[in-house]
Amino acid sequence: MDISSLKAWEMREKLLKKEISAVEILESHLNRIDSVEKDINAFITIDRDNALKASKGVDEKLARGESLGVLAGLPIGLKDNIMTKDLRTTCASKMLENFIPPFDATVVRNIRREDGIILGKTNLDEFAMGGSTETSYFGNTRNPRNLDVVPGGSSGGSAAGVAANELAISLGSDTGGSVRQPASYCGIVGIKPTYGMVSRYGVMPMSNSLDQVGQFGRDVKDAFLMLKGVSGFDPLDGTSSKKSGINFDLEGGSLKGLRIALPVEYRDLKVTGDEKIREMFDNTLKVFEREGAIIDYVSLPHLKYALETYYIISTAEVSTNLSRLDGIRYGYRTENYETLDDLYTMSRTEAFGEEAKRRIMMGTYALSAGYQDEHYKKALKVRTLIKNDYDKTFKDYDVILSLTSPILPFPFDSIINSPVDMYKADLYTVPVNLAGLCAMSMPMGEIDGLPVGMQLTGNRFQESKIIRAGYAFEKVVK
Amino acid sequence: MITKDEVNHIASIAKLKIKEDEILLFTEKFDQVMSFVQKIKEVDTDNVEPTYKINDEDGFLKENGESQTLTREEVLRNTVDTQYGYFKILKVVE
Repeated sequence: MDISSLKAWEMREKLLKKEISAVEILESHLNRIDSVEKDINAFITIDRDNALKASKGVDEKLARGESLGVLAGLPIGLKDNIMTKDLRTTCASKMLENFIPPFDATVVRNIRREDGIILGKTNLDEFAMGGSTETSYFGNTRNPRNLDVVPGGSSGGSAAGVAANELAISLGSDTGGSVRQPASYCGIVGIKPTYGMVSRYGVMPMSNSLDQVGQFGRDVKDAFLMLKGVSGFDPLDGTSSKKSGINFDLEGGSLKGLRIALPVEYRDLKVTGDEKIREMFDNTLKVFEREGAIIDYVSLPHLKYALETYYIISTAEVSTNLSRLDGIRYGYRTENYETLDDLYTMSRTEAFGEEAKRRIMMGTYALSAGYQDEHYKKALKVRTLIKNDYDKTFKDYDVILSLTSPILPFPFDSIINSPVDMYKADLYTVPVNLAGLCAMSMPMGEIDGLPVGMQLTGNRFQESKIIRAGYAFEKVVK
Repeated sequence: MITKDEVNHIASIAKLKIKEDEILLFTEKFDQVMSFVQKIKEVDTDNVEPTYKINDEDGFLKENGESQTLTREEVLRNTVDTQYGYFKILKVVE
């Protein structure tokens, strides 16, 4: 039996029944890494020794008859923008190539509390900015389903590692789709929880008002397990919610009577080459209908401004967040300087990649004197209108159903040079972050051998609705 | 249309330097992106309040007291140069 090909929840069940040990679970993943990682490049850092120690610890606990946490013995990958004490955390940037955090993120402490095994740090677009993992300083991650296409991004390494059975489950971060889109491209499940559901303490902020730590699994139950292991109120994160926590189980969810909204704005929005994806989506809708779901078209008129709103707000926050990287206290420092100002400017210029620079520039522009009201303030007002559209929709509906991405995973170097095209692929995912909602991407089929995902969106703190509906759908199509 | 000079001005605020041979291409891509976001100008936002934060809960205060701290050694571990237990940079006052 190849343990690494089991679902995470199956590994956990077998571990608790003592059919397999935590060390065996880890070793099967390390073997898998040895055979496929050279092709995939899911990791920036692999922490074999500490993972082995932690796995032995879990086996000892089990032998002593102690109770084990929900993530017991599962090899977990962390996007490399999540701080791990004494383990290098790079954000996939030359800027933090040698950065060793002096503390753990809360999600890391939660994983350890639940007896999860941290196996390594995964690749991402530099500072989580991008949709293909191509802006990483540490090279491309390749899609396990087809090595010639991107895994999506920015959490491409976390998605690819799970899809390739190098990891049982993993964490990413989702600011505008960075968990859901790579989940879709790699054919797995990705959850973006409600804003405030999972602590952001110790997660390198990209856009504080939009960021949320997301979960990957090979099926709904696995992603759910990952979410259960890391959610909960955290006094160290000022935006953590007291409503946080997962108090429901998966069983009992049904598609019968589920009220599904379909935004007409998405129906009317055509993207070149999306015909086959749309056809698949229509067929998926028929499955929901057949199972007794009630489906209506609704209008969310401000959705068509979501991308522009997102790019103004997110880059404004990016430009202020990345200003902490000045070459003084941590991070890259240039050797070419004569003045303090040169030190800042040349350190940043030599260490940031092109996309990071472009977004810092865009945010600086949007916040600069004379433009702040016209851009940033305006975008914050449109954000209110987008949120109001959703609030209205969720009065009458349980779930909004849509595509996750309007395009298939694309070949390397095909989109990165056209920033606007790259941004447009985020159309279905960014509004969820603007309104702080929860959403999940899960597979609905394949086109030309490439996975295609659909997205279930729920109101704030209504994770139970989207996850139980997704679980019920998964059972129907199995 | 965003000009080369504007790009250089924004870069100086952001403490970045765009190389002379890259400035034209950068300006072109930057202009594309900025004209793309102009679309939100057409939305009527009169009497609409801005949304700075999405959660409806008020923030919370921590107990006043030391809860977490780093040692001097931990603080200095990731810098390039230290002296006498401080970050060392170049001399800025005579």
